[in-house]
Amino acid sequence: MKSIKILFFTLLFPAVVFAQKTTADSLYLFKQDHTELNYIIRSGATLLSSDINRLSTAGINYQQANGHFRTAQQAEKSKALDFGTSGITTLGKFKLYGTFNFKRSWQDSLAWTMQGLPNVAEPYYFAAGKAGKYQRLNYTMGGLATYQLPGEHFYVASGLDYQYNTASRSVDPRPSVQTFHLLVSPELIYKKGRQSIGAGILWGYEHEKNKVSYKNKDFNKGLSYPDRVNYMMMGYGYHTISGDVDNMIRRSKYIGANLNYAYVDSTTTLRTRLAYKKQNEKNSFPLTNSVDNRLFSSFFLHDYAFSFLASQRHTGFRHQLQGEVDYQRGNDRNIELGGVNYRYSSYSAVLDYTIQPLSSSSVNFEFGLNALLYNQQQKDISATHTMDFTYVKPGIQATIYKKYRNADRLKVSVSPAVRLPLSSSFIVPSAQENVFTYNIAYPAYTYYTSTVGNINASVEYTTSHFIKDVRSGFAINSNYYKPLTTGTVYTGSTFIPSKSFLDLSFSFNIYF
Amino acid sequence: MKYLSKLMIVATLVLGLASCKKDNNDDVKPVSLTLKVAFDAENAGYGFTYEKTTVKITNLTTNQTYNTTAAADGTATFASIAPGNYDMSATLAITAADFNAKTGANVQEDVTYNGTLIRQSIVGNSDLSLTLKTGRVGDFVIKQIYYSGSSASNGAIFRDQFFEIYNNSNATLYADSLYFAQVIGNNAVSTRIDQSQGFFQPSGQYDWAKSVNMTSANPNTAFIYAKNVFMIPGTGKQYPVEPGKSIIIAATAQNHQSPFVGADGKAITVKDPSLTVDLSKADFEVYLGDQTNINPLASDVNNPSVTNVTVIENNTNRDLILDNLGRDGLVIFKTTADPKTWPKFATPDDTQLTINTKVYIQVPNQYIIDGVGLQQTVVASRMPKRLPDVLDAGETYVPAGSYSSQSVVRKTSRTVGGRVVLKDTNNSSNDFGFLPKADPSKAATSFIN
Repeated sequence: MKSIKILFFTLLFPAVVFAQKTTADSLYLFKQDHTELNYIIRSGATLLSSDINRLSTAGINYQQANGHFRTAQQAEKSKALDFGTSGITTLGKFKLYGTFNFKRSWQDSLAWTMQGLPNVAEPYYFAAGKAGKYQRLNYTMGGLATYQLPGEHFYVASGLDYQYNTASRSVDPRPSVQTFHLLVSPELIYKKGRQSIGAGILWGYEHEKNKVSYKNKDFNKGLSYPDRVNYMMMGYGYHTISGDVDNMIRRSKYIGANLNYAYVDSTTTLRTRLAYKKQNEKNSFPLTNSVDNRLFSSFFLHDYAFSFLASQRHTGFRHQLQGEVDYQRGNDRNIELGGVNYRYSSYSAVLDYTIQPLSSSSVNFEFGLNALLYNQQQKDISATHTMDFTYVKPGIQATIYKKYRNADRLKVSVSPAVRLPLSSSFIVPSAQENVFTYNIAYPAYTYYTSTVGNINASVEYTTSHFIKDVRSGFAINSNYYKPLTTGTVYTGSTFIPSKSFLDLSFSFNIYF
Repeated sequence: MKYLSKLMIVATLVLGLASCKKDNNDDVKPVSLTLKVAFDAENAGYGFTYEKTTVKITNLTTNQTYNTTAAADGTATFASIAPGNYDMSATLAITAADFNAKTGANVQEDVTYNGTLIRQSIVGNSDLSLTLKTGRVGDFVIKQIYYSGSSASNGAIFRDQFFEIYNNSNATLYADSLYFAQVIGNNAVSTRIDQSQGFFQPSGQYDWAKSVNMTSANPNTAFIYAKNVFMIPGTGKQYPVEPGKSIIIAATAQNHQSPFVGADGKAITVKDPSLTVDLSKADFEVYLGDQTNINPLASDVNNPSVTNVTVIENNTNRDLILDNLGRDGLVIFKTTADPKTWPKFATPDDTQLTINTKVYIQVPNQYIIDGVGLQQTVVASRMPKRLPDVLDAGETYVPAGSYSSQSVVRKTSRTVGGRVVLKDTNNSSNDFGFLPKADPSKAATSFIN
C-alpha cells in the first residue's frame, strides 16, 4: 500500500506541487486562454510574462481512431490511454512549469513502418508489408524553471524534456524499438516593465535501439512470404531486403538556439518565438562478435520555426491571432553510396484568428477563422523518386460557452474545414518503380492529393460536483475526415485511401 | 503591433536565408567502373584473347545486374552505374579446339575461365583488376543440393536434406571412397565484420594464416577447411555410377512424406507431405546414431536398406545438417591418403586452444573434384565467399530462401546420345538454377536447362 501511495504521489507530482486554491478550469475551457497557456510554456521569457502563477491539472484521456482514409504507414485502428499532469507555480524567485504524461497505445493493421516514433522525415527505418498489432509505451516528462538573478531585470531559465518510448508488435516480423530522448534548453532573460526578451540555446541527445525478429522460422530470412519480408528503407524509394541486418542503433544530437519575446499590457499581449534546431543523426549496425558498431548512414535535419501569439481587448471583444511558420530541411549521407541520396523539406504556415465578446453573461460565444498551408518534398536520388505536395486547409470555428448558476460550465465547439490540394507532383520513372513505390509512395500521394472535408466537434463540461471542492470536468472530442474527391491513383498502387477516418477522444480532468 | 511587424521581418529574413537553394554537390551521382581482366600467371602465356569475356556486376543493395563484354585488351567499362557495393565476375569460355591448339592439351570439353571480386565499394569512378583462372572440371559433379529444407511448421524442417552427385563423364565411375565435406567459413554478414580484429582477410573470410600452429604455405588459397567429412564406403568397384547417372546422399533416408518412428520411439510426422520428399530410396545416408561423441537427433533413424556413409570427421554435428540459410559449401574429393591424418586447425578467431576447441581438417585443393559454394538468398545478408575461385568462382542459392522446399540444381549443358551433360564452368552462379521443389528421383524432372 505504501508503494502505491508513493507511485500515486509521484505521478501527481506536478499537479500536487503546483496546486492553487482558486479554480483553473476556465483557463483550460476557453480556447483563447488555453492557447495562451500552451504558448507561455514554450520559453522562460513567455512564462515570466504571464500573470498565471499557480495552476495545475491532471487528467486521463482515452482516444480511439479508425478508418480507411489514411496513408499506408498509418494504422487502420488505434486506441490510446494516457494519464497526464501539468502545472505552474511560483516559489520565491522561482517560477516553475512541470508536466508528466504516460501513454499506452495500441495500433491495429499498421504496416510498412516499424518506426518507434513515427517520423515522416526519417529516411532510415525497417518496414514490412505485413499489417499487425502494435503496442507502445510512452513516458514524457518536462519542465521549465525560471530564476530571478540578483538585481531587478535578469533571469535565467532552463527547459527540460525527457521522453522514453517503446514499440513492439506480436506479428512477424516483430520490431522492438526503445527510444530515449533528452533535451535541455537554458535561457537568459531580460525583463523590464511590460517586456521580456530571452535568448536560449538547446542541447539534446537521443538514443534508439531497433531490433527485428521472427518467431516463425518459415518467415525468417526467406522470400517465400513477401509480406513478411523485412526491408530497410534508406530514403524515399531506395531500400534493401534487410535479411540478417536486422538491428540498428540510432544516435542523435541536437543543438539549437532561440529568441523569445513577450509584451504584455492591460489590453494587448504579444508573444513571439524564433527557434532553430539541428538534428545530427547517426545510424549504425552492431558488428558481429564485436563491441563496435559500424556507421552506415547519417541524417541531418534543420528546423526553423517562428511563431507569435497576439491578443487584444478592443471595443468589447477579445481578439486573438496566432501564427506559426515552420520550415524543415534535411538530407542524409549514405556511406555505401558515398554521398547524399535523400533530401527532405517541408514548410507549414498556420494562422488562427478568434474573436470573443467581453461579456459577463451566462452565455458567451467565440468565432474563429483559421488556415494551414503545408508543403512537403522528398527526393531520393538513387531510386529517382521525387514527391512534392502542397495543400491548404481553411476552416472556421464556432464555440458557445454556458455558465450555470452553480458555476458549472459547458462548452460546445464545432470547427469545419476543408483540405484542398494545390500544386503537387510525384515523379518516378516506370523502370524505377519498386516495392516502396507501390506500397508506400503511391498511397501517400493519393492521400495528400485528395480534397478532404474535416469537421471537429467537442463538448466539455466542468463542475465541482464530481469531487468536493475540486473543479473537474469531462470532454469529448471528435475529428472526422472524409475525402470529397479522391486524389491521384496510380496503377499498381496496393492501397487506396478511401471512405473516412474518425478520431474520438474522451477525457476526464481535475483542475487545482 | 510595431513589434509584431519587426519580428515578422526578422523571421522572414531568417526563413528566407534558410530556404535558399543549397549546393547539391554532395548528391549521389552515377559513377564509371573500368574492370581490367587478365589471365593468371599460369595461363597468361597461351595467347587467348579477351574479346568474348562476359563481365557481370551485381549491386548488393538493389540486386540490379549490369553486363558487358571485354574489349580486346581485357577492359570492360560500365560508364554509368549507381554507386554502392558490387559483386563482380568475369567468364571466358575457350573452345576445346582452341584450348588444345594453344596449350597442347587434349581436352574434350570447352574450358572456362572465371574471376570474381566480392563486395567492392564503388563510390567514385573506379578502376579494378580481375584475374581469370580455370579450375578442374570434374567427372563427378555435384548435381543437386537440397539445403533449404521444408516448412518449419508444416514440413520436415531440415531432416529431409540431401544432395546428389552425378557422373558427368562418358565413362563409368566408382563412388567407392569418394569423400564429401562441408566447408567451414565465416558466417557473419559481410557488412558486419569487424576487420580491426585482425583475423580476417580483406574479403571478410577467415585468414587461416592467423590460425594457431598454422605452418602451411598459402593456407587461404591452397586448402579448404572441412567441418564435417564423410566417405562413401566400398571395395573399390562396389558402387559404379554409369555416365549420366547419379547417387543420392540423404541426411536421413526415410520417406519424409509419411510418418516414421524416431530414435526416441516417437512418431515424426509432417502436416503437409507435399512440401517434403521421399528419401527412402536414397543410395546412401549419413547416420550418426552410432557415434559416441554426440547426441544424435531423434530423426536420424537408420534405414537398414540404405548404405551408411563412413564418418571421417563429424565435429559434434547431430546429423548431416546443411545450413538452411545457405551459409555452407560442399566439396567432393578423392585421395589415397587418409584425411584423418591431415592437419586440423581452429578458426583464426579461436586463439586459446583447449580440449574443447573445434578444429577443422585442412583439405588440399588438389584433391577436390568439385565444389559448390552456397550463399544467403538475401543480398544484404551475404557472407564472405568461402571457396577459392579455382574450386568455385561463384556461389548459388535458392531464390525463396530457407524452408522453401527449393533446391539448387546444375543446369543441363547439352545432351549427347541421350546422356545429359551438365554445365560445369566452375562457377556455380552460372552453372546452377533451382527446382521449385527438391527432386531426389533422378528422373527427367530433376534436370533443368
